[in-house]
Amino acid sequence: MRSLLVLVLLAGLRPAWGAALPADDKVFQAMRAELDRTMRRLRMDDLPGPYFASYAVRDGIQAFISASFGALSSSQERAFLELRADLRVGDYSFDDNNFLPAGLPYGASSGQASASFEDDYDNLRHALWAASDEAYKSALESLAKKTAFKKKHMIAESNDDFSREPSTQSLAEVSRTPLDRALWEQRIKDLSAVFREFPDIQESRVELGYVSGTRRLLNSEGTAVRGSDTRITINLGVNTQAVDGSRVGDSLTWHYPDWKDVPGLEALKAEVKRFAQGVVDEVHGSTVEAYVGPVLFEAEAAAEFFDVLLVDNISNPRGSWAEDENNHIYDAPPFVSRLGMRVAVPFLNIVDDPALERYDGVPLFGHYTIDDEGVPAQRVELVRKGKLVDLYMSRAPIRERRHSNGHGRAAFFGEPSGRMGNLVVTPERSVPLAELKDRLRAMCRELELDYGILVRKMDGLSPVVAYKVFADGRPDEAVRGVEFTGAGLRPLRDIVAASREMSVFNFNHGSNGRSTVPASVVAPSILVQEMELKKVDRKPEKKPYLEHPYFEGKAKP
Amino acid sequence: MHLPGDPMNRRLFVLALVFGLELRALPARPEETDAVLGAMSAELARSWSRLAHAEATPLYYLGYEVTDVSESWISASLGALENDAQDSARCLDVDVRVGSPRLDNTHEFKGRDSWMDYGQRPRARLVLEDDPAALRAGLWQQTDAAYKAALERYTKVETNRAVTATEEDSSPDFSQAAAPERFYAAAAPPRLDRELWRAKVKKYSAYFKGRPFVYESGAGLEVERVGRRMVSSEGTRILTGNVYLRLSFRISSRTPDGMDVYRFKSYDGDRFSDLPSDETVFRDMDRAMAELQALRAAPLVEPFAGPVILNNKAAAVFFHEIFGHRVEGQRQKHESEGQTFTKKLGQPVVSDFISVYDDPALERFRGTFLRGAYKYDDEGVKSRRVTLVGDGILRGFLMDRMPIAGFPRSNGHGRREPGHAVVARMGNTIVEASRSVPYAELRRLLLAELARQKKPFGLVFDDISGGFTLTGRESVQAFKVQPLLVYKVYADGRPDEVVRGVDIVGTPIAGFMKILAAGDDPEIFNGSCGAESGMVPVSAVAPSLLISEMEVEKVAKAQAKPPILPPPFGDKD
Repeated sequence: MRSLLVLVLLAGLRPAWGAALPADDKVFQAMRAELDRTMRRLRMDDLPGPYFASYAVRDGIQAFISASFGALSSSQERAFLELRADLRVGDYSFDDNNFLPAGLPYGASSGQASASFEDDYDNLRHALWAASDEAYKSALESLAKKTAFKKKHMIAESNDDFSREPSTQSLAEVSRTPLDRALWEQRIKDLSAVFREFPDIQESRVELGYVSGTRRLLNSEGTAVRGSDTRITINLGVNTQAVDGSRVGDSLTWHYPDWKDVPGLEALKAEVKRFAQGVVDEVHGSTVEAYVGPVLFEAEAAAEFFDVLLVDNISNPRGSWAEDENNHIYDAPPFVSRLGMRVAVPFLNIVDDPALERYDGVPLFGHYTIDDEGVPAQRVELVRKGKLVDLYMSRAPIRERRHSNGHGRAAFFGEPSGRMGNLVVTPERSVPLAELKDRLRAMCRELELDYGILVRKMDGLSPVVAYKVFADGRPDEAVRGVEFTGAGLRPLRDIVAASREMSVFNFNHGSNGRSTVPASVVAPSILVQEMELKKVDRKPEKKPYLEHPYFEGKAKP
Repeated sequence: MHLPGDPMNRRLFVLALVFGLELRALPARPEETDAVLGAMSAELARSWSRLAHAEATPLYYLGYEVTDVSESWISASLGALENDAQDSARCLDVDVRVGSPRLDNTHEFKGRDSWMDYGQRPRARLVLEDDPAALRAGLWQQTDAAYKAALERYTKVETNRAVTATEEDSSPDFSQAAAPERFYAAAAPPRLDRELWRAKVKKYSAYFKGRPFVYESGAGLEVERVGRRMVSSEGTRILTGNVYLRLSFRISSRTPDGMDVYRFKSYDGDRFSDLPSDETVFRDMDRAMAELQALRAAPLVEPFAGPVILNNKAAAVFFHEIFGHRVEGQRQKHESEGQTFTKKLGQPVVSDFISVYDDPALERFRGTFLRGAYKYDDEGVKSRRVTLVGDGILRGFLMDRMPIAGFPRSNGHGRREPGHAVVARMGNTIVEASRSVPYAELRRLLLAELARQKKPFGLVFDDISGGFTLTGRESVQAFKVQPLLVYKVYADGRPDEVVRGVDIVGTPIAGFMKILAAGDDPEIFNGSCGAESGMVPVSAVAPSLLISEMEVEKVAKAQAKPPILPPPFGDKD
């Protein structure tokens, strides 16, 4: 393959992107020139040069504004350009990747840097040159160690390290969505001032994150991708203590692709109030020692449920060899061996469709068109009638799946691996949400329980916002400081009903040892037959000696 | 109050101080006109009145320090901007003391628990705006956390003292307060002409383009304004501050055997007129490039013991690192310290024609800006000159408010970076010689010493890196003295030769008694110094020094290879 490429270049031809790259794009010009030089000439002594190289460059504007209790605490805005060079040595069947050398960070064979945001040809080429040199040397070192590892452990496995995929050319126009900084400084302050109405909340903050930029990807196989996007987030965070002194912390993030998707100030304020009221409920709520019984996961909590129990178990299916044998961070997830088996109740169908931009008008944060390895995103059917039929695939093949399905994703400086985009859970039968809650009460009566548990928000598998729903129809009561125990993989098969109403949960998906990627889950609320809860074993803390100065002497609302 | 950016006002104010008229410049009650001081005073009063006896262990001191830092950076590489940003932050430090001045929560842990003294507290941020409600909310929260932590630590201190041996130095933990300080004068922010400086920084950085031996390079300007407000339960009310400008450039390369070599230069000041002309910058860049090329081609040094000259700046860094840190007060008391100088008071520690003092009150040295200047330290104590060494004899230590045997009071050297507990630190450390010679004569004396010791060559240290930051991003290990540019001077008159890979070994302290002569060329090193209480701006001043014997060895060999391909610009591809 390599000698073929050299031949092509010598003949004065270029890979597929040669003709297509816009002449006025100085960033692409610099990437192309340096990629060309790297592939032809980067070679140490008598060792082989790279068989594959890929450059990614991201430039744009980013800003961060934060406020607390009605006053600005930070406001920054800056232009940036970041780049990475990924070089592979060896060949498609065996290269330096999918291996974790002891004492080195994962994916050390990439060179990462920042450079001039002025899109300067010479500055960028210089930075790419330095990054390529670094990446090449560590790739050689990794390959040597990996070869030794393979010999030592007498591994005869023959999975390729890198799948061959058709090249992609996709060049969208460069666009920017500007930030009105003065306006948003004022709005974030206004939103943070909402907490002046909540004496139960000791500490609070409201933040705006904004990044608008362009990502370019160019590789030695002829892939050339350019795309622009904007990501706006508003984040709320609080830290306080419950009536018994135990810590109560909560946060909430909203994601938007454009300013026109952001609700108006009054609507946002109402949302902030609702969040704050949830925290107040928690502050005055009670805890439960232990609970065994039905649990209703509502909206966002249901999304988290599917994230933890399904998504994490079908992501990054290609495990890595680790030189340090006690390191299992990059082991293959458990569901790889369950392809074709039942993993959920038969009335559920689950797909991942990154092409979806919106669901019911709500923008989906997990939307993308081409993944971070330059492979076009594909709709993947993951679960059909409860059976697992596919996995999230990047260009790291496994025995069961030899090709990428366009889910090779990572944060800009992370290593792409098989990751989610927009997960959509569709039940074949459903009931209105209100009926689901009635059903929870009915189950409680049947099991002679005073109450059942409703979870509205989770952090992993720990309920953050939860309520007791009483069998006799009394008003719900907030519960705090509880966690699920012994959940295992079973709850997916114990779902008894799902709501007709679907809700969207946008978030940054983190995965064991991997970087975070923007993601969405679209799912119904669900009722699970039986789960076990216990009180979190954490000691309460002493409450503040003095009252909050702002609320001191003021009558509580 | 003065207008922002008006240097005249600042000068007038300084003059007023000189004539002892500061009271007229002070508003009667700064906390009534300054919202931040107002919020600090109000919350301090509320906490003090209700917390002093809230528990059996009394609260006996409460202090707030609020530090405002506004920074602007412009940096470029190969003629293109890489950074063009500004940022502001307001940090809060709450100092709580419970127990009594004799024994309080700050007392050193000994023995197995001594590690508990390390680690910094989380840096607390306050809102940037002068909003009393939001400021007081932050002050309340941090006070509560600091008070609870102090009570907890005090309990541990009592236990630790009960189970460990009696301390050698039984001085109290906190010195008595002098009369409360009242001072109110913020630093005037310099007006940055961004357009002009963008162009200048780009122009400087473009000078390294097309020089294939330069692997990484850059130039940058930093403009930093620091405002500090302090209030304490002893009645101190202070508003003070500093301005720091820094223009700098850096270039780096790698030798064929894998050693990274670099040159760095910075120009410091507190007004734009302190910064150099283009002509000076380009001349210094030429010199730096020549030095870098010489370093690339330089042979590795062989182990050596013999006479050396420390050129002025290198001598200043050497004194700061090797001598200055060892005369910080707490190092004479803490039982985990080497205490090199503790028992040497009144005894010779340096050659008898050398004196050393530290004077943060000095704003300029012979007209040149000193980065280590400040009016009040971080415990609200007025800065002053301290004699450390007089004619070779050790006379004193740098003191914060933690007393040590024989030194019951602070001398205004309690310093910190926000988020750290205060310890005694240097400000402007100045080395003086009572007799000096022109540099040419110093060199002649070196040759004479070579002949006397029958050595074929000696060394001249032109540049030494210490625990100083280079660009604010690269971190250099604190207390590590690493020679960066060293010349070999031959006894037989051959031309000087640059050597590399030099590491100073042995006990460098012995070198202070072996100073044979000093130049008449004192020079300033402006930098930032990192230690237990974080990074603080400092200056060191010294003349060139001839030392009869110093020992060096090779540094550990690096493994990295130089880049395989030449830099792309100018590569005939």
